[in-house]
Amino acid sequence: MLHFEYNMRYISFLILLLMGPQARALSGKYPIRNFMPTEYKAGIQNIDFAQNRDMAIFVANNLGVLSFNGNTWERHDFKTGKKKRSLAFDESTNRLYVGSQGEFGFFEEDWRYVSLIDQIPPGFGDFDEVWDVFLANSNIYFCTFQGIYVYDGQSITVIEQEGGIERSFLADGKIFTQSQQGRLLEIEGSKLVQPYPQGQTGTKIAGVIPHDEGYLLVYNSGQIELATPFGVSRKYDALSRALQGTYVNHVLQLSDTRLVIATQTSGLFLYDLQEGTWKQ
Amino acid sequence: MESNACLRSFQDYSGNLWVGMQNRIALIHLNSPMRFLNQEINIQGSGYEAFETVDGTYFTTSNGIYFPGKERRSRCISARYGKYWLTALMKSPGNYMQGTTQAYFFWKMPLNPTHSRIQMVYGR
Repeated sequence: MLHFEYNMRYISFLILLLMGPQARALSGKYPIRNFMPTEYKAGIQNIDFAQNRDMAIFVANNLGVLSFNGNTWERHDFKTGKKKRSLAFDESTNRLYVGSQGEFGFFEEDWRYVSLIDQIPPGFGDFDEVWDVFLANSNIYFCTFQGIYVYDGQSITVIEQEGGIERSFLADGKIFTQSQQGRLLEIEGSKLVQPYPQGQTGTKIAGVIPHDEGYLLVYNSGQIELATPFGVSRKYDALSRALQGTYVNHVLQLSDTRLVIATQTSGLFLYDLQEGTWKQ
Repeated sequence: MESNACLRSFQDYSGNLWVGMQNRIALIHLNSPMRFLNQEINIQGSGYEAFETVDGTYFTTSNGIYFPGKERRSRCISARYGKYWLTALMKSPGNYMQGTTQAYFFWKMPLNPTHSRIQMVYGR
């Protein structure tokens, strides 16, 4: 069980509300628990998460991989000199896949680490950070700016784009990325194709979210587009204006109708796509 | 949250939200039935009482009466009469009593809080 030790600095009072939609409609701040580096005893920066069916949480920390069982933190692969950047847990194999600086692989039971670097085809070993790991189509996708390394459980193939790529995204079981020229690309087989028309190309994509007949493209700048096979249009202008200047880092679709937009300078935005309202 | 630099978020199987940050990890209990009503939504002072109307919930604090409604920031409806407040919902809809350590006042309160005018109907 988690121990709720909330910072009470600004709290005037606390009210217990009914669970369910009624509670969500009311104003107020969700309870937040902050875990400081002194508590989990690792580096300050935390970039990615994963979870297994035992409900353990895994964190990609700049000094290692952290695990949290709801009560205590543990460190793994600690201070190897390679910052951990991305995680994905594969329930079918019980493996925790890890992307780090110039390295990727997986943890098996008892935290035995298996590097996959040796399986990279000759000539493709020069990459820097593995910013994302995705499980899709029975493959593991290790996404770097130099290319996407696809592991099928036996061997690795590499999907490249001339000039390199930007961040990659998993949406509706599809892997998207962005060319250095700003074009949205999708993995189709072993190739990158341009799936949809796109308005903005001069700014980086921070999130790709399935929406209606296409995908919402959320840019670092805060601009939002809906890209479909039939065209592209701007969406959620009020939210875009609120996000302007905040530098969007990441976008997550919650299990309900809300988006979580992580920004560099203004915290989190919780945006309800149906109601068109947000909390910051 | 105590820091603004959010790098990534993750929803766990319980529906709660983990946030990877530049200098910590934050766990936001999205599924919690609890909410904090405080300075961050512009409710100032120490909390005393709350009562619900069809329009929403009114909150009284040491600074005054607040109505958050569905807005992101609460509105201070009345803060004119001193430091200590006591309110009670009257049986008659739209009426409630508030007072200070010095005196009690009865007010006629419009049910729609967008009408900010409050009319004193009795005081001693």
